[in-house]
Amino acid sequence: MSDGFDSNTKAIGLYRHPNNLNSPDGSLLAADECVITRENQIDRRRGFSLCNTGLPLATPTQLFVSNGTLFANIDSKLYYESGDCTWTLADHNSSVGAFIKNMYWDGSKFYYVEYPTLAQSLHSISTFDVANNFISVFSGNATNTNFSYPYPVAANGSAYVSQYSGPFGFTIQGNLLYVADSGSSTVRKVDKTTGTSTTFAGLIGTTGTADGVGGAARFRSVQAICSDSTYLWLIDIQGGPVGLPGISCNFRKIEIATQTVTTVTSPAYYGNAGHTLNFAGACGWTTDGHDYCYFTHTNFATIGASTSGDPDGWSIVRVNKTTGVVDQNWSGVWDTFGYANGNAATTRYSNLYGIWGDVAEGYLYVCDGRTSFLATGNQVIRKVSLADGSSTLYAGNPGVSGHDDGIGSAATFTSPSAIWGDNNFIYVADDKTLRKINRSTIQVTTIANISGNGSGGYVSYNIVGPT
Amino acid sequence: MALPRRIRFQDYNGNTYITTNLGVLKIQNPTAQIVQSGLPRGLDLAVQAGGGGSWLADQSSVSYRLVWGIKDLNDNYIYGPPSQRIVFSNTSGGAVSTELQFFIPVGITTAHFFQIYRSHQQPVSVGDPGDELFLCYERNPTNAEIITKKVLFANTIDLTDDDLLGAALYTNATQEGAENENTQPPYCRDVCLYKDHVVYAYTKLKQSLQINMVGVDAGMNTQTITINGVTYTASTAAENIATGTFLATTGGTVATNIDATARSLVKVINQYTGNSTIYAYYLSGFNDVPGKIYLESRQFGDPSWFVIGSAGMLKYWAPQLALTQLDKFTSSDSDDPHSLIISKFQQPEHVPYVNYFPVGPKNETIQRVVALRDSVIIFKDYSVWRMVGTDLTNFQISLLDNTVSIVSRDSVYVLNNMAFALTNQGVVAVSDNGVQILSRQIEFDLIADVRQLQKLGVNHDNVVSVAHESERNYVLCLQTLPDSPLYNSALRLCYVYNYLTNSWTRWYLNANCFTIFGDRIYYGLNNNVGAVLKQRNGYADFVSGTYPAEMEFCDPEGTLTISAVSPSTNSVTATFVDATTYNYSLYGTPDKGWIIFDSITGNKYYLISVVGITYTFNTVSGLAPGNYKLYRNIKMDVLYNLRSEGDPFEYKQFDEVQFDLGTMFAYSFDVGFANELDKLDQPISSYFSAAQTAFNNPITEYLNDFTLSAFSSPSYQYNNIVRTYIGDFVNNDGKQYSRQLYVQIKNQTAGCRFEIKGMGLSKRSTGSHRA
Repeated sequence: MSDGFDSNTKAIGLYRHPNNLNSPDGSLLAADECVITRENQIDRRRGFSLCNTGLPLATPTQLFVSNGTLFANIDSKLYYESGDCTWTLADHNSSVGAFIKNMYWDGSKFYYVEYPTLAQSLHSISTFDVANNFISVFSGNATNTNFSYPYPVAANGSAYVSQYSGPFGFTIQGNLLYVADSGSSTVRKVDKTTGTSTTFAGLIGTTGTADGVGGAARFRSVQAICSDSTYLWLIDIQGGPVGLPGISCNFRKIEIATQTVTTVTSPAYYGNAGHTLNFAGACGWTTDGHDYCYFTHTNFATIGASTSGDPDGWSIVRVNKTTGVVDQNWSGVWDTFGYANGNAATTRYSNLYGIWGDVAEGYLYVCDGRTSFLATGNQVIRKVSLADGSSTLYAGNPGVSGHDDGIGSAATFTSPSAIWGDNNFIYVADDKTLRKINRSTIQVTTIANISGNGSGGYVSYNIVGPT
Repeated sequence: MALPRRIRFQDYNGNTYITTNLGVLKIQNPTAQIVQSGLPRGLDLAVQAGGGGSWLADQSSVSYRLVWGIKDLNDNYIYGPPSQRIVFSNTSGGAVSTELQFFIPVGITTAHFFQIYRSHQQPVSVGDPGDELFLCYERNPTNAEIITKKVLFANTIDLTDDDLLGAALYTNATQEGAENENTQPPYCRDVCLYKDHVVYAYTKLKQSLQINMVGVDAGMNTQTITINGVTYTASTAAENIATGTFLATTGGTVATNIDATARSLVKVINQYTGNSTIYAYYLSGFNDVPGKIYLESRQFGDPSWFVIGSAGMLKYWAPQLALTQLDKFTSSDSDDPHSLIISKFQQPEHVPYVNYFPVGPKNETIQRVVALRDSVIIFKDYSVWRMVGTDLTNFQISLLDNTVSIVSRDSVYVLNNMAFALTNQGVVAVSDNGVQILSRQIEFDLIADVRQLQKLGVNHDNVVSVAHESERNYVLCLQTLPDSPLYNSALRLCYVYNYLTNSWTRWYLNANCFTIFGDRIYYGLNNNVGAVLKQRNGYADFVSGTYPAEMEFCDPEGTLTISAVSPSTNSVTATFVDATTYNYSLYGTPDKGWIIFDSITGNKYYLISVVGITYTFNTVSGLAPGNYKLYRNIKMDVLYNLRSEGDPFEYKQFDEVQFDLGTMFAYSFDVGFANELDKLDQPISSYFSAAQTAFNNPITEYLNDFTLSAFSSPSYQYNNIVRTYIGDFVNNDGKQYSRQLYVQIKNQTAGCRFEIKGMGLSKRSTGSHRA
């Protein structure tokens, strides 16, 4: 008879190969998915649950605990567990870089302005130097932060004395930046070397619609500016508080050489006429260098107006520089959002924002789908033919949010807001990151994480192990 | 180009220091900016008379140095190395004060402060005013100064009388000495903390090169020197920083001409906007040979660079410059695979490079350093070393074992004050007493695994590990082998060692990295889906009435969307969506043993089979169309070694096996048998095969007292002794009559602990040795 549970029934010395002649009789040969807690006792191992909310689609390369906080190194970035299984990108602590309104790459650094109504926006022209991981205020008092509205009072002077009041956009011609300083009702001129600012047109703090030369002209709320070699082209918002979204816009121009301000058409555009709040403000604005300007805009009819408001602003609007005639359905349809590529009439956009054109190539590139408090957009970069307004997907995966690099649609964007390009690359500001798209391969690469504390900021490191 | 290693990290004083391709970075808290550890050296200090005071007598000299500092977010004061000393002599004919000007290096913010240290004045006739310096000026740079990267004379006026000088500079000879300057932590591959010193291993410094100017004359005018691709032009007329033009001074003595020209070049290099990679330091001191210039990269990890000159520039340098790249004018980062550089006591960011400790031969690379209580264990390519001692004055390094070669640097983990690692001798534990082999029991497979992995070219980073002190476990994950049915180049098999029970088990976790946090294992999935997995913890996760503790025995859940329920067949029509929407093949698709856990009712539903979209459960009572969490099982599988129960050659009748089972919610479990006849032609690899061909009869024997039907309503069982019949010839499983018997027990029920406390066989002796 058996002697029952004999002493040979040992749960130690586990996992011996059959050919291992030293295995004692009755020991364990193999034990999978178990733990051996003490002699003769085998328990199942504990299970695992997913803990990955907020992480990008990449392979984690390191986990570690720092002062009681769990960190993951993934996709060359550090994330920390900010809540139970909720991960947040480390090294980012404010809205700096979250919503870049307008940017320009000069070959070594980026000049940019942030959307000025955000709580921690800097009312200044900033630069970020990718090579040196450093953001600095290029022109403007760096202490001008935490002004959502009213904006700080504008002032001219040296780089450190200058103050801006809701700078919505800028354009560069030669060594000069021309700034649409919405809250001060002026166009400012900034020396690209020294950061010194002067008033180019309009009078600080004085609104109006008068044409004239330089300081004799009046503006209300210049919120978009682009240029060709002869003129600055402006969108001057009418209605609403100065420096904030309005209800219509005037289309104006300034001859650079003479500072002569001329209204091309007024009002140029109402958007969805007939509704109280219809034209919120210009988002993107560019020129083809010839006969037309193109812009994208938001419309507050979509805010809290689900029963009465008609959304619009989901098309690229074309303006004739000479006549001021506006084609609000030049590409897409102003009151219909969605995602569709195709000809000008059938193409659909959602939450259009930054826009940049390559005249020689014959295409516009637009940020389609900045994520806002209104909605999550398409989160892609679209390419639009200047010849006929037809669109194609350029980069990103429609409706899929992320920071993944990849080729074309294999890449993902979160909230593309500003765009600029040169012969080799398209640059996109996307939710605290700066993305670069190789124009030959459509390879999207994240080249910097933009971060800061609201009073200067920095470009955060990519965390890569030593070689 | 070598592949990046994983970052290493070390906590100290509230900060975490991580090793990266940009050197050692510092995490102060999760939301703060990650910054370079340590501080840079002061740059381009210049002094002139001015400021309105009159503390410096005529015909008197003083020395100055500049130090950058910061109080970090965890209230640690960090100080950088002092700038080059500069001597100012007042020969104006009257007493004066002084003004200072200097350049601000990259990384300095308005949160930093600078301190200026000065010597007591002494007559010019005496000569060098010395290097015993005391604090005379301190403030933070303004934002404007940060942007222009310059602190100007007018804004830095030294009015401090000698009698009012402050604290002594830490590098004074009467303090720590010049050799103990607080240089930044070096670029390194590993880091650990030992006796309150941070140890940086396998180090390299910033790229650097020294050049020596030995002459200046008018012929230098318009000639150029090019440093890392940036060209600087000499001018005998004027210095122009904006154009990269330095002043070649020719009006003085040979020495003063060289001195002035070299200083101008240093200033232009540092401040020329076309140069964003190199800083220059003027090394020549008072009464020193003039013209020594030290060039250094601004950041760690830069590639090598070189210096060349135009044809007319070459002769002014010794050794003579060249038109094209020469080795002697090519920078070096002192890449040192066998080095340790150790910080000051309790000051991880103050790392004098004099605290340098070589470990064995230079051509043998340090792979890891880990600290035990009384030693640092250093794993090199082919040997293990140990550093002992209590402080920098008595640290000693000696060879511990030269018969062990580390296989994977990521296998190294400290457990129970021993360093565990995978080596050519299997898994070893290294302690102060030497190297102990732990994997003798499994080395037949483990070493074969290791050799195959090496043959496959799998590098160090494809093996990962973790040690869980409270569980006494060391977990080592390797890639699965090509001859395994589970083989997948991305799949990993974990060998788990418990040091208290001296036992090995296997887990199937496809891990690419591990850590322990909150007494749980976390691992990053070895797949590009951004998944981190967190070990369940029955005690911590338990919620009375809704989430029972045994739910810790489930792997990641997905969502089962039920569209229809069929009570008559105990089945539902449903679709399953994984917890991630990605290919998560490690855990497979729903199968027998998975459970629905309804957190509202607390009910469990045991999945018996899946055919298409038809999921059959033990019961569907209470289920309705909608979404439910479907939890994966953990397929526990135990195989006992051959049991002979006495004379191994005697033919016996094994009619029953008994198990002492602990806490469980098992729906069913399977027991299988094999005998000595099966063993010979059934390699262990077939153990993994789906058909379980290791056994003549697939393991479908259900316990007589413990059948599937008996568990239609799963219940809590505790300390049950259960038994089952071992099939005889009639039942065609032929194991009841055997000389020796294998017993295998499997359970794949999710939400079930399933403890086996023991196993016994009942045997009847036949007295025959003939089968």
